[in-house]
Amino acid sequence: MTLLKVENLSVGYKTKKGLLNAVNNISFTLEQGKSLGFVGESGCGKTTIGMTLMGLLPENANILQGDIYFNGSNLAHFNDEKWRNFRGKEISMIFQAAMNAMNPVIRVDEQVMEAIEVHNPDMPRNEIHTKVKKLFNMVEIPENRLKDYPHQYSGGMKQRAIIAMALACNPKLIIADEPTTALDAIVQDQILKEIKEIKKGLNTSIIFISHDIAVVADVCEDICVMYGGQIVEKGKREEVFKYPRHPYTKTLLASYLNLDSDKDIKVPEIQKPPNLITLTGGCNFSASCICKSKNCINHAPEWVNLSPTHQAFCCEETLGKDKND
Amino acid sequence: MRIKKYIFNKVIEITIIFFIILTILFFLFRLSPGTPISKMVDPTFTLEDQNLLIEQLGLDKPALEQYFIYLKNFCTGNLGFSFHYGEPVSKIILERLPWTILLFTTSTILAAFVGVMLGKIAAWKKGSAIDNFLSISALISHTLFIPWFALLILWFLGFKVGWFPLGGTLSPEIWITEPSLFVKLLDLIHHMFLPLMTLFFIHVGSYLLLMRSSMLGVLKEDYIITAKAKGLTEKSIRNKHAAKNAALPVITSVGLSLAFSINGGALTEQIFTWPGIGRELIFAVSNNDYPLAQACFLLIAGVVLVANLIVDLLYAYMDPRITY
Repeated sequence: MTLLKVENLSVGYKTKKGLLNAVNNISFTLEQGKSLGFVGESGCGKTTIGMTLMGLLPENANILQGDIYFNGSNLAHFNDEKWRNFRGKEISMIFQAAMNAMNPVIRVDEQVMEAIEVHNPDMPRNEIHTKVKKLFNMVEIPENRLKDYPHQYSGGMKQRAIIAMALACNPKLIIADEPTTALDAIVQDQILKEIKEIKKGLNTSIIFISHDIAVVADVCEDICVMYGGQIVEKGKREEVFKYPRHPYTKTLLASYLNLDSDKDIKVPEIQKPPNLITLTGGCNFSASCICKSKNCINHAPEWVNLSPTHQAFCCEETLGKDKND
Repeated sequence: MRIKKYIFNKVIEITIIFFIILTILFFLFRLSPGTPISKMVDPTFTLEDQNLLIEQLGLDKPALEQYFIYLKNFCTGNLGFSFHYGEPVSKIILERLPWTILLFTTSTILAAFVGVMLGKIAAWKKGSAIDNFLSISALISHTLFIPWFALLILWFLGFKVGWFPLGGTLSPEIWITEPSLFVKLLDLIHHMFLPLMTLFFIHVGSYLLLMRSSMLGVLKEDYIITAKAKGLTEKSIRNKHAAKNAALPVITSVGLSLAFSINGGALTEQIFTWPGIGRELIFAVSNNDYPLAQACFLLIAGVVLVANLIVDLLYAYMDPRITY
């Protein structure tokens, strides 16, 4: 069953220099119980997608076009009140614990409790308590730490508490925005395991946003690679990471060092990301692309089907040329 | 019990600072121009009489000796006699202090409370008409010149319209009939209204601006986004998640202004003839009434020091991240 269907979504920020097209005409779908990962460099629009799906865009940001169908309703046309009832209940978000994601002056259990309370106003108090205990059990936080303040938690515990918070109302979709960034490798591994278990156990869909390819590859079945506000390649995890076709995906993977890779492998140099205020209409990646033709600068790329599940936003010429080398 | 140790250390620190202030004050007054007897003597006084007077006040002794006498008396709880009133200084202070505390505690708490409420709303509706109105009003209130505003309000509401008495704290003609407590209270409020309003308007602006800017900072914090992501109501985000954090710096400000209000209201007390410490302070200084003036200043110093400690402790209570 399709849970989320995003069609031709564009999101822009009004800035002093003009409209910044942070997300430009993207489409993707997500099935119930599946996980989708967004990878890309900073500023490529990953977080903007997450915030759009939560209705948490800042005041100067707007959905310029497109539709977001979630379980039959179009989120693009939600008003404040609808969003308020929706957030945390249907879609919830796992934030980065390294940020100040928890209120420093409110006890941790209280912060989870209020998430349940607001969407279940009739639930009796003791039932909420039981539910909170269950949630903390699930994320393996000992019960005697429930009444602590966030600063008394370690980074990993904070991240677990934030996951518990996101699970409070059994959402159908969880958006995890860089949930393991700034955690050490062991804790990161534990958190990822937890997220995978939750996904399996509760049949929750997950959108995973990260700049870390390894993390995304670990959790997600489907991958979208983003560059300059656009999805440049999407497909199954194996397809995208084993047989990358878009020049940017290749660059991204090549720059990810690994022990047995050739030391002298040449990582193509990436120019600075495109200016999203003055888009030329051509390919956003053309400035850094190793195989660009003259056409790429002025002609918009198009979706090329590489397999039924694997597509790249490029041009036949480049993809074809590339195949040979 | 780290907190007890902290308080203990703090109290020792405060005591040392207090005695340093006492020393400085003592010599500062001796260095100030004029002599205490200049306001007491008649031109017909002979030099001998004047010297006798100085001797009686103990001012003929060397300053250092005077200091040690004062120190000894102070430690035994004797603040000396006022040169002007001829009464024990402690008695005068105890008479005036309740009036000052009543007026300034009420006005500070009222101003802080209203300022925090309005500042919260202004920050929440940043850029709206309400915010503009509140911010500009607060700026005007904050920059008002106290005596000017006090005189204006006194002239208009006290004199021109005549709704409120021009000064004092009570109407003897009402109190002499021994009315009920309620009538007494009403009379007190009637007298207190103008000075209270003056102090309220002067202070509410600064609390509003402080709360507004603090709140604007807090609203940018990540945990506000988390709170929104949970689907909490605007009211809950504003009051529970933002305001509690934003109010922290306001507490410091309230604590300190409560301390300074002991003397800070000297001008207001003067204009509304409110029989408080501030008025006494001005009087004592201008008459070189050393014991009284010293006691007034020491009172301020003491209150500021203790208020600082209380603010520290209150902070630890409000912000769980702070422990001592």
